[in-house]
Amino acid sequence: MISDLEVAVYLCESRGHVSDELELDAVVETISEHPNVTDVRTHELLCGPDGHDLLRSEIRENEPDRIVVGGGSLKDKRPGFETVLESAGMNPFLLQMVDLREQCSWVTDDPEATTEKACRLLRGGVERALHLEPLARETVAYDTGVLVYGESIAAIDAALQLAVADRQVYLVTEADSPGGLLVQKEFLYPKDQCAPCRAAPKLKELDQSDDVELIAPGQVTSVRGVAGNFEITIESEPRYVDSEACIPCDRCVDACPVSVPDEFEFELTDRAAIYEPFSGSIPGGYVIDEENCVRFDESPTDCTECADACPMDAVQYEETGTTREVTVGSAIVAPEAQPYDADRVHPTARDGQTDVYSNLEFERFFTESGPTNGAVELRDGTEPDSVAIVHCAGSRCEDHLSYCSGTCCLDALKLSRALLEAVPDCDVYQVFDDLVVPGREGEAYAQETFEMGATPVRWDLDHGDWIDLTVTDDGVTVAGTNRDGNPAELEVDAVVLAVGLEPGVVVDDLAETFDLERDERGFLTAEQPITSTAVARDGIYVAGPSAGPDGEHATLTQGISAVGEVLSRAVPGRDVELEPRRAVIDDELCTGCRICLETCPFDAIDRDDERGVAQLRDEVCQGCGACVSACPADAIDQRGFTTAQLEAEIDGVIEG
Amino acid sequence: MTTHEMDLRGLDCPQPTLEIGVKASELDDGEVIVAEADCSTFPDDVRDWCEKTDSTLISLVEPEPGVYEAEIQL
Amino acid sequence: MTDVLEDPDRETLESVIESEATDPATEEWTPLVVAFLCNWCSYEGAQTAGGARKTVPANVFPVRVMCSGRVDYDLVAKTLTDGADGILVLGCHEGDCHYKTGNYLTRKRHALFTAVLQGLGVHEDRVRLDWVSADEGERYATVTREMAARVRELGPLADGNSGPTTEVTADGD
Repeated sequence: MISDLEVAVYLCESRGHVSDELELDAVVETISEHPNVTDVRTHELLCGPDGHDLLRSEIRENEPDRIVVGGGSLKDKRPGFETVLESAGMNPFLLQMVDLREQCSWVTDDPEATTEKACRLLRGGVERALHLEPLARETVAYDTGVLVYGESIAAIDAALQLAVADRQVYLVTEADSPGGLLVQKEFLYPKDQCAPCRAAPKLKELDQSDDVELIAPGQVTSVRGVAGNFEITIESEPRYVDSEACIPCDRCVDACPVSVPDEFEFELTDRAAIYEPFSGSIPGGYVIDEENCVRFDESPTDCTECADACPMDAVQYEETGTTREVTVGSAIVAPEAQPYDADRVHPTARDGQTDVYSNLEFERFFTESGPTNGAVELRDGTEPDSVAIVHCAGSRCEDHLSYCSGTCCLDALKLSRALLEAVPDCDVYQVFDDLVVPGREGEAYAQETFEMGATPVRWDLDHGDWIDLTVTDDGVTVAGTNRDGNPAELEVDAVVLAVGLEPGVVVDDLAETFDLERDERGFLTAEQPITSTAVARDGIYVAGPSAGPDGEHATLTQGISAVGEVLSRAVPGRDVELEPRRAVIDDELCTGCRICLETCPFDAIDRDDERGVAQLRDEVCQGCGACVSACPADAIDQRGFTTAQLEAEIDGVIEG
Repeated sequence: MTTHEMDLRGLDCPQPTLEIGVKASELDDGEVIVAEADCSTFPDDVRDWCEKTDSTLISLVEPEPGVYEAEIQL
Repeated sequence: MTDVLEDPDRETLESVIESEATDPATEEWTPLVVAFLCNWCSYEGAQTAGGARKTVPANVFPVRVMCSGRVDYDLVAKTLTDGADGILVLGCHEGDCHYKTGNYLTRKRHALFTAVLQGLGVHEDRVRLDWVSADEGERYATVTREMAARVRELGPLADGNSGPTTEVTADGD
């Protein structure tokens, strides 16, 4: 019975800050008159060790039902007082704090007015205290599973590292296979080592890992919940080919009537509508490209050429996409970056006719399994006598990418070396203003490249399109301004534009789904990038080149660093504390109108369709109370801030 | 109980809390220091200091923008 | 929400705001304003005001909630009928809500409630919604003083139901 409850009131003088500004005796007398107040004590500094001792011993001795503490800096002091209550055997939520300092004695000039205000506020506090209920501190397990989104090396290595730590990993990418730009390259700086050889064992390990579940191609369509308890919806897209049964024999490819430009090969060659994403892609086997396969046209045909040609019966036209929900504790978002469109730098670039290429495109010539079977060929099939590799194409200028991607100079040098080896008689020109070659090996790499025979052409980068390309019958004329400020020209057979990197196309959707911030250039950004990969939304981390353009090594390192943060947070056995002041829904009053569902900023309310009522997801509720005011049936209340409590506090203040 | 005032404005962190520590070593438990400082990490530093030394932070206010005043009981 | 009150006699109002701050209980009737403060922004703003020893009217009484979104306008109505002459609801600035959209919900509800007030013949200035961030001590002081002055000007909300629909001038007539 509320009328029986005993409330003990403790007033902190705050060493004069409170007591000097009002008539303390009058306050004590007034609040003592309240029928439920059994004890009023004052102390010079209640939040100090002496004050705590007093409070503790009196609670043990008198066993009041509720405690009201009046003083200053309540939010700071509250945890200390809660500990005192707990150590004295009292539920810490039976404490009501009343600010008598920052919002009373320190802001009111007149002592009489201060005294009256203090009395009213205390009365409000006492009335509220009468309605306080004991609350429990509950915990729920922090799920150790992790969702990794992306196809970049950051995503791949993150997944692998997490598997080493025995964590359940869901690796999702919209690409047909993880691999990203790494598998489109042939060589890697700084040792010009074979790129596919670096990728292959990682992909194989991923494929074979029991801990990593790969969903490719797939999308994350919703991320609900909080750190430790995310419910993530993953939609997988059908591949139409059984990856276990498929033996990449190419018979289906030969049978397919469709021929479309192959994006993997930068459209240097074509592919069929059924194809292997790349050699070593995972999960193994081919994929049917819905966009181009005639079975999925506007007027679909019942073409079965590939299925008929397949000796393993691996083609399955009836395959459908799946939607599922997984529960994980953390998420790492590490999509690949995309190379800047070279044809925005110059319209003839990558047009399929002129010998103007982008750096990644050009690198395909060196791949044995690539469009030219490893031969460096111009469009007319002959070997080039001269090639100009242009740095900073579409970078560091207002019209294109404003920043330096940090990898293209090294990439350009790397291509020179490959070219000089493949076509020793070729004149290779490196056209640049600045040479960005940081790190231990950079300078030596550059020097060596020039010693191998590449010719440095140092021109003046004028912010804008710094070189002009004119296509002639003989080749391409590269025009610019040299360091002396005079016009200069170079006539070559082919031009390679070393372009920078932009955030991947999926970043827009990802940012929305995962609630991620972007910087002015569109890159995903951690909340405190220098010290962490974590974003503002707790439990989610970003890594890889869509979080900032960089080379493979940095990308990989970022992925691992995100893993470090995940592992140190999501420790098996470590629990998450539920918000004690969360909502509570009364089933009986709930009419199932769903207004609370729509209102909740955290998606913390579900509808139990069987019973037709709203259901709170306790581990997600943050205790804001928005649903309480939204509910038209008054079926929801907030623990610790119940309607009865607030009404009581207000009445206490008004009545004084 | 005397109050000891300290003007630590102009000092860069972590000097203010170091000075407070030095002063505190000369004083007895229960004595009070009121310290003014204007370095941006002072609020965090002084909270940490109080926790580490089991002192009571009676108040921490910002009388003017960028200037902090901490009242500490040792 | 406006910072500056639209008032034909600004000078008089300003002097009332000043006197409200320093000497609130000069007349027989003292307006009572309940201010709902959100834990993360406006409550902290009030704390900052306190730390900087700003003057806040003694007749503005803070009630802390976690988010302005918790402010149920039923509760606001009840507070008025129980004896408050004015209500301040102070939340976080746009985009700053600790709970993402709480303040946005409050804004919508407030707009609806204002229409209800008009229907009841209660002046809409008696229920003011505004935004104060944690470091805006000065602003908190100004908003509370403005509110107290405005409510004094409007006069007491008569017992139980609607208040005067005509404005009371600043000099107490």
